[in-house]
Amino acid sequence: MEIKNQIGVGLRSTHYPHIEKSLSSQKRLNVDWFEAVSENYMDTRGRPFEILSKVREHYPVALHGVSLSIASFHEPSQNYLKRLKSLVDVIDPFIVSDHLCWTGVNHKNMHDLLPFPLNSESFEIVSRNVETVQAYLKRPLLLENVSAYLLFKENTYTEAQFLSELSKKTGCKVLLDLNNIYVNASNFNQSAQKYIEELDAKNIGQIHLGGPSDTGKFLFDTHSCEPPQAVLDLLTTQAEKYDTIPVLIEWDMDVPSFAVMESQVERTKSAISKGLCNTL
Amino acid sequence: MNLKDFQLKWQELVIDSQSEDEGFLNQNLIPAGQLNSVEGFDVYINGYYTRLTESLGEIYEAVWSVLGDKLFFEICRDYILKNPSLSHNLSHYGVDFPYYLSQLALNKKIQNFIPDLARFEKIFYETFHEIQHSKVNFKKEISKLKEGSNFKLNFCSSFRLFESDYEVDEIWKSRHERQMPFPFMGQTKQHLTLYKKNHQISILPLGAVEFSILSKLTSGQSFLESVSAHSDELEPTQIQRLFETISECGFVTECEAV
Repeated sequence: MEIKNQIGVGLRSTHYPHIEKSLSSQKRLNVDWFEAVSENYMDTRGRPFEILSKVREHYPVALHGVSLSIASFHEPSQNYLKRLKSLVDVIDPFIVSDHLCWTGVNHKNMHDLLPFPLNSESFEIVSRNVETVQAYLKRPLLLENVSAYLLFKENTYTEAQFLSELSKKTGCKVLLDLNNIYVNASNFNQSAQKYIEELDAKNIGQIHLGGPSDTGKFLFDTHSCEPPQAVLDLLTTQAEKYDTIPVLIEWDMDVPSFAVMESQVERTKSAISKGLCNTL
Repeated sequence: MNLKDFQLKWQELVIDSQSEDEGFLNQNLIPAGQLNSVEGFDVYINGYYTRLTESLGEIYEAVWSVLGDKLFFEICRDYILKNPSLSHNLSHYGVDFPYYLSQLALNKKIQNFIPDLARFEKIFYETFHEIQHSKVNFKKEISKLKEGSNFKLNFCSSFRLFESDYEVDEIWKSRHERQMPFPFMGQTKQHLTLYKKNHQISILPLGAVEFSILSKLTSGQSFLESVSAHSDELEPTQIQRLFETISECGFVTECEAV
């Protein structure tokens, strides 16, 4: 079964030598695209930026941020936006994304993807911030659902509702992290399938896959292993609906060889293919 | 509680006190898995401390090596409590860590060379992230000037000068071989330049006079101003050698007549 999804992997410094070698020998890697963490390339013109620029000459690149802090009560930092836009202008990514979270307020940064109450006040603030960012970047933003270890009693939206409404109001898209849905569903005894069904596939612009750690007391979103079968199964069930959405495999801790990443690309293709066959 | 008050409260608990407020947490939050709300919040407090410590450890790798895990982590915890991250970039954390260490050295809590080692690592990190400029033919640039005329030099952005009372680059080179407890280090004056060549960072030892001249040149002084302070001790061959070094290393980008 031919699949249309483009499967990419995160650009990580551990793989730079392998990627450089393949580029210089003009050997195509078994990945369709790369995703780079924006902050790792915003403030450098050294080796990381040189590698990203070389990669961009041969592959599509998405930029994925971790410090936009779209859900802070105040507007996003102009300094941050300026630096992000400079990078976007140079790299010309096919996707610019960040997370539905906050990372700090009043110039301080906790460098974490923090949860916030999903209510009408937050909705208005996040909508305003998304519109500010999109106007500045002159392009739509994708926002990713995050893993959380605390939820708010005063939530009046589910996360899927919040993202759907946000997409409808601002034109932003959803970066659907299936691992984060799986982690939260497990940690808060919710249904991952129900979450996915609440989201309209036309609002989804990208999919993330990753692997969490089981601490014994809760699932921790560490990106330290391959995506669990349960996460791939979520993709399989939605294969037909998500048939053109780019998929990305994230691996941030104990990063394996690039060959393992390439085998994960094949594994992901098989999961999608299986889903497409099931719907025939 | 509105979003602003909630975020200020959360941030204060994580950054300023690194503690939980059980009443606040129980009232507002549902914890993950088998955690209670305090344990759930601890995931975020621990994550904050861990990420900032890792960031310091990445840049100040040699400092970590000579201090050992226990002392390095103790110093990091104290530093993190007093210095929240103010940048969107985690790698920028710890800009004034060398200064912080110098205060500890003044109080005899760590050896005197350690702040200089940290300063060296910070400079190395900065150089790493600078652009590799295209090489300029220095001899050709100089030859364009009228004979005997004064000039100023512009240096590439990766060019750095480093001065210390200790040979810290030797410790830095052996940072992957942990030496605990680290032996006492005697004073030996060191002058270095760091710069990028062929996309690699080069470290070049300099004599005290050459270092002083280059320091003056990088601060915008003209060649004649830079050498005049050393006219008694300078020999023509030294100037010639300095020019050869500049030419070989390729860290000058422009030669401007004044």
